[in-house]
Amino acid sequence: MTDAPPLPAVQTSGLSRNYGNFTALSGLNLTVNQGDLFGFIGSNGAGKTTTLRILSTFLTPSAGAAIIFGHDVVREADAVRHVIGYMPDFFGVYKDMEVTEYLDFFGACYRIPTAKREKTVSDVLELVGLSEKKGSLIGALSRGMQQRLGLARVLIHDPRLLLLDEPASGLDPRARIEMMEILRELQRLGKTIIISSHILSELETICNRVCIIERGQLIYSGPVQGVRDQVSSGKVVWARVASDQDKAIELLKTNPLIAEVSAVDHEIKVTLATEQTDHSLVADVLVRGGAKLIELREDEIGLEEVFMRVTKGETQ
Amino acid sequence: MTFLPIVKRELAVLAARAGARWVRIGLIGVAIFFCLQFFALRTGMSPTSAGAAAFHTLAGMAFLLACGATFVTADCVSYERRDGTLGLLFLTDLKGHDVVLGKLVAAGLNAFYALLGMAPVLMLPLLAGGVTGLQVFWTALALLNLLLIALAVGMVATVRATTRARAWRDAALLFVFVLAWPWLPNLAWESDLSSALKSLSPLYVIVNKFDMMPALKLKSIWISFALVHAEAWLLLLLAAFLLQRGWRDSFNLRRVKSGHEARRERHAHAATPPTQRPAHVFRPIAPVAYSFLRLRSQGALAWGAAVISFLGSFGSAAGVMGLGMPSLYFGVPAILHFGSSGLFAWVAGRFLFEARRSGELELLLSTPVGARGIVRDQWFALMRVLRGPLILVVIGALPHAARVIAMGAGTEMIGLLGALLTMANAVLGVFAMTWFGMWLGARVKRPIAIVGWAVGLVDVSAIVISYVVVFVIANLASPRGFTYPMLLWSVALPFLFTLKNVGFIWWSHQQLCREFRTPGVLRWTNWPASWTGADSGGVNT
Ligand SMILES: Nc1ncnc2c1ncn2[C@@H]1O[C@H](COP(=O)(O)OP(=O)(O)OP(=O)(O)O)[C@@H](O)[C@H]1O
Ligand SMILES: [Mg+2]
Repeated sequence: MTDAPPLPAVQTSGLSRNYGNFTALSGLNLTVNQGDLFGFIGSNGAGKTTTLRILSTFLTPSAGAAIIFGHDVVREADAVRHVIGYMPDFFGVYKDMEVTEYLDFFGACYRIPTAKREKTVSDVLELVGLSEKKGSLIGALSRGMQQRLGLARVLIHDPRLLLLDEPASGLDPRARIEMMEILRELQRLGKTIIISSHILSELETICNRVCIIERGQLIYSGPVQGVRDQVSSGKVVWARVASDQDKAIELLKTNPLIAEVSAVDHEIKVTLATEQTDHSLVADVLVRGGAKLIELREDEIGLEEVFMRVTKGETQ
Repeated sequence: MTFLPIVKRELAVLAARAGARWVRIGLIGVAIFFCLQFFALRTGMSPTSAGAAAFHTLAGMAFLLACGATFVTADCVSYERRDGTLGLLFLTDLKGHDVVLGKLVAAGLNAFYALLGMAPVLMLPLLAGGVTGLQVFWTALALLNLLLIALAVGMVATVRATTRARAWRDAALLFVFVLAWPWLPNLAWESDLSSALKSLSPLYVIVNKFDMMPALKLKSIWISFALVHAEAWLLLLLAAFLLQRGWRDSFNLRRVKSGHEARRERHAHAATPPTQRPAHVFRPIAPVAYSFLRLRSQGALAWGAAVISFLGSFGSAAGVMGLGMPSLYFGVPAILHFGSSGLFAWVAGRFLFEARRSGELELLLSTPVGARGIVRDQWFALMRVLRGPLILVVIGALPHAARVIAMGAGTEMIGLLGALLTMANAVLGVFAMTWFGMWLGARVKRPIAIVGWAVGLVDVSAIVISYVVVFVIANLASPRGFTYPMLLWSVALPFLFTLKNVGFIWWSHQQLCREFRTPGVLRWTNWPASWTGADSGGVNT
């Protein structure tokens, strides 16, 4: 496995989908490696659900192709269905069944032998923390519990790839954290997970890679940190000097790595030219020039700010 | 083939519903009741002809039941499409034919049990004589075939539908078509081919089995039986194919909307707001009445109920008057009557039922419309829906009324009174059913419960009780004879029914007002302004 480059879990090329003459997804090229916990981020109507439905064989693409563990989602749909577990953005539960009955039913549909099924069902219930609710009627479960049950269903046939459409929506903060814990645990168990969300910061801590789509187009794909870097060209540093602010400004203006300098009240706003430079440059220039630097801080761009900038606040 | 999990699931879910069992028990009870009446009421028939009459009655009832089975499967796949579980099934190893077969077996088993429950009752006429074993055999076979094709038709309807109303409508239309089309060419031109075509209809065996059966005919019946059987499997195959090909369809719609949502949306996007609609559709009225009337096909349902009621009344009148076969008409009109009652109850109870489900009711309760407006305006709207159909119901009751007058020869006043009561009951019966249905709509969890409880309590129980009363009084009056006092038939019984109807109206009204903690609606002063003259068209305050 180590010699040949491992098969990517998901690879799409030019994946597009139209609804009538509306393009919901256009030319998506995406690679998700095995073992990734992959965040799929976009605002409302960006095309997340559309993409996940195509990957889970619910929708056929209008153009392009998607390969999951070497199987084409259109031509080898059956094979794909065996390796994926898809959790839609609605629950898809039978409210008139009991929790174990429900999981047993889907286990049977996946042709898991009866002997093995019982253990599998209690294992997945254990994993999602629903063991005490075994005999409850699903309709009587809370929203968060139903969501966890949905996750349990996804796991019942031990798929290699999980496609989770907004699994944390509608959950309280505590349940959210628990859900993320479960996902981390699943990743440890060797599963590849794609999880969609509107909220970048929610995924920041658990995902190793993310992509951002907007209006059906890929804007960014890569490690979480990279998102920040991509938008932080033109990083801003604020400096404060004890005296002679004008001289400090002159000093800074002479440096080629600094794009712009201006005074704002009693602070100096320095805009750096490239991403690679950081605020130590500013300190360096000022101290060498003899200015008395008393404070230096970098504008912290929050992930939400990053997201807003990347998506330009556009929704459909 | 992985259809067993589906069968297991469906059966488990059904077993958890107390309603299904009660329906079955109720059916058997009704069967026993109609069967026994020929023997118990001493109608002057010989045991043989009573046996034959009972058999034909049972067969007629079973025929209607088997036809009704098409509605059992009609929503079985489409509800999964609505709930979003259908796609999840197809992610597993299940294929279209697994789903179709699983649902068919589960529904079939249930319907089969219901029919099977009637089998012991069927022994009675057989023992009494009047029917041959062969006749029973063919009837049973024909009914099973009919059951299969009814279920198959429902399946074809359900794999394409999204809403329940649509599924039921498609199933009904398709079923009528399957029954009738082979006879149509025969109407236009009669030839060997067109009459051979008739054997493609499930009705062929059923119609012919009543006749004597020479060997030649028996052969054609066998052929027809086999053809219809094959037809059913072809339909199932078609359903499986359509499902396998089209299960994704629901995902091409953004999300399947509930009827209410879709309506509200249409309303919002409508080019002409409702207040500008032509007056003949309806004048601007109170919001609840408006929502009530916006429910899909309320009018059609009410008319359907009225037509069924009309057929039932006419059939029973014809039967009693000795036109055609009285025995055959005896149980069937009753079933038709129940069917029409059930539809009326559903038309009335539907609004509250669906509004409760969609949350619309809570919204309405928090507006100035208030509880009283909800109850009152619903009744008002219901009257608009029922106006026309009620006329048909009354016309249907005419032969009965005429009969009562005819019976009263010599005592015209009594006859007239009886006739008037009969006519009044035709209307009051519908009112009782609708008020009770409205109340049920505010209470029950499943649509079938509205129909079941309304028919069971308002119709069946009342009939049973009145039968008992008649039986007791008749035996008291003339212990050995068959002659009921004419007074009893023509006045006392209708009067009893009037009491029952008024009682149910009053009681449901009380319950409904209590449910919503609102003062009475039926008081004159509380009636909508449009009824008493000036149409305020506004919201009740
Ligand atoms: N069945 C459909 N018919 C027409 N347009 C559709 C359909 N389904 C989705 N769309 C459109 O495709 C676009 C992408 O929808 P999609 O559901 O993939 O968005 P999303 O990223 O999942 O949004 P959300 O965060 O709101 O779930 C939207 O503009 C939507 O209106
Ligand atoms: Mg979505």
